Amino acid sequence: MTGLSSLLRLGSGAASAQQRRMSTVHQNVANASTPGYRRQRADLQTLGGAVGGQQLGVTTGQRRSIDAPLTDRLVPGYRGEVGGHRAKLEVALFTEGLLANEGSDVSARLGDFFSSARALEADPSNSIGRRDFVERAQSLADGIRRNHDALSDVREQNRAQITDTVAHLNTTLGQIAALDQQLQQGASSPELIDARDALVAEVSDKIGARAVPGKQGTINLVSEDGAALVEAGRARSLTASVDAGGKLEIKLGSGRALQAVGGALGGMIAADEEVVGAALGELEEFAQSFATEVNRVHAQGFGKDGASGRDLFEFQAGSAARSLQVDAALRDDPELVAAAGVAGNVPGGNGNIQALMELEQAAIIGNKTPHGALLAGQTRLGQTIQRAQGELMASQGALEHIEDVQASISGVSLEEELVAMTEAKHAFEAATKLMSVADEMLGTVLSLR
Amino acid sequence: MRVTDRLKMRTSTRQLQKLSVQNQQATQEAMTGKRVQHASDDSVSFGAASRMRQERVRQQGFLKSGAAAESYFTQADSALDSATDVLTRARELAVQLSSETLSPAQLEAGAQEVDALKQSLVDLGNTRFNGSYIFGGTADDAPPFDELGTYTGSASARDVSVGEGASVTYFAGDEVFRGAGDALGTLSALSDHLAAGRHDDVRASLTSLDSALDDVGRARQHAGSELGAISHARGFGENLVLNHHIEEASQTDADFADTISRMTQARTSYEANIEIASRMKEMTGQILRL
Repeated sequence: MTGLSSLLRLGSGAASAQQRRMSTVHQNVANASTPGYRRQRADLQTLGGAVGGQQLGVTTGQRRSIDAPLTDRLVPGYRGEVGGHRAKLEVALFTEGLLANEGSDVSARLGDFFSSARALEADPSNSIGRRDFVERAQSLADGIRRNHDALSDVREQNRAQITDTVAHLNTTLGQIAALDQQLQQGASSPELIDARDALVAEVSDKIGARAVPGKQGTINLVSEDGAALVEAGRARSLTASVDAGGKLEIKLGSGRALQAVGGALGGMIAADEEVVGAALGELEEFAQSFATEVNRVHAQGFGKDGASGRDLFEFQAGSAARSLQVDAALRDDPELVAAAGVAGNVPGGNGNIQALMELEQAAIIGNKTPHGALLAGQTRLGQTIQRAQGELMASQGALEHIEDVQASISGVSLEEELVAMTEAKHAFEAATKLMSVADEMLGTVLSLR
Repeated sequence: MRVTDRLKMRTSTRQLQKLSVQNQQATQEAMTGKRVQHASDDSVSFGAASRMRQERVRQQGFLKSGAAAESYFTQADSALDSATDVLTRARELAVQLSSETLSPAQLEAGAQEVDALKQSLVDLGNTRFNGSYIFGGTADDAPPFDELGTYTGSASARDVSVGEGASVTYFAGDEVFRGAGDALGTLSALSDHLAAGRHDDVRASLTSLDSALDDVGRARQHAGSELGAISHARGFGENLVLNHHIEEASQTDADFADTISRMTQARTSYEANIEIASRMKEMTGQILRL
């Protein structure tokens, strides 16, 4: 009787083990397309000896995820790189589109300004020509101011986005720490680890952090410059601020500024300096140098009233791009435009207008002509975009390859699962058959009485 | 390498995304006709095209100034032609009225006609073009000759650029009507001589009138020479504008044959990949049904 009972237990144990295998297969098939899901395995273990003591038969060990340790370690870094290049590119493309917009094209307005000067050269006495010249100068000033305001808006929006991202990061870091605390308390499960890892991936995208494995399946999340963001189930908070020099920085709760910030945040900070900041700097240099030089020449000429020494543009020193406009007196009375180079040649003299026109070909913005300076700014921005696109493509290619390897190791193959299911199903049927035979044998033995 | 379903899906999605971007780029090019719109599309071509555009706009400015100068000199030449007629008529009168057989009444009538001719010449000297007095020099906002024929304009003439390194010089009226021949002064004197019956002085006026005609003739020569310079600058400028336009287009315009071919290729590949993805899905379904 003891032998038949053992046989029944053997069959029952085997049936349960195969059922768990089938359940694992179901779990894998159902999550085959779930992002970040790692295929699971329930390995069979022979009972007897160390496992199961006096019991015989088969059971399954704890269900485990199939990890790809090397790629799992590499993925966050590359995700951070991709996130960084993408964020920088997004700001740069937006900025380029904004500045190349027909209404904001300072180059075109500069060309119109000099064309109007040329028309005035031919007929300086003409009041309509003088009015047109003043309007073109004002249009150029408006274009510069509009671009300055647009760039300032982009910077403001980018910085608001950085603040939002930091706030979101703090929430995510808190969630990671909470999950790690559960893991520390022994609540280990593949689902918990998957949920934590999805959050870690999100943090990597945003700040380029990497995870260092800790005890009991926990992790330490470390920033690019080695500062711990999550450690032993505790998260540190981050804040975004602008230093005295106007430079953006991300600080840890303790107040230490991170030296290297990766991910989307790093990209947005780089965009703040290299894209928007640089464009604002170039625009300011252009406005300041151009207006100063035009004023210098204009002041040497004579208006229709025979007076000289007047500026064409007025602006606040240090913020020319923000404040540039045509001098109020000239806006009110374009006859004051100093077209004549000699007092005696008023009103039909054009010597000073000719001197102004020479500025079009003169190196007055650094070592560049006005058109050259604007073109250099556009080209620099275009090259920044091209470089960011190249870098994004390269890091995306590398990430895709690593994720492919990861998907190859940890991903679900339906064909494999089908084979595993068939195998488990047959084994399950064999186990039930064994139980049925044992039951039949038991019945026969009992009927012998 | 294990080929998992996620790997298949990733590869397929990635390929579709790439083809979609290629198709989008080609469609954009076909729609706008431009290969380069921003510096980020191709910074070298963008830079070259921008320089061409700036130069084209500059040359178009020269062409506009040239057109205005051409109208000015055409108008001036027309006025000078009339001035030649006036002085020629005055010379005819001087020849006719130098005869000592003419009566004082006939001489008086001649003097009156010369006065009228002088007034015509003053009017011609005060000819306006586009709101400005063409013989006023740089003081072109007021009539350069008063009723007596005194020049009140400026002796400075204006230079106007009509091309790269090419400029023309407008007129200052004193050179034309109060130059060596002093046309207006000669007519005043002729009128006085006729009214006073000074036949010898009337005959002597012929020399001054010839000199005045020379002044106007020189001015017409100048107008003709400047019109020639403008025409030459225009021809040169128009060629430059055309060349810059062509060069700018060659840097930024799309090659339609290439664009359409890339678009077709991307679409065909996209459709093929969609078909493959759908078959993969079908196979997955079959496996799941097993």
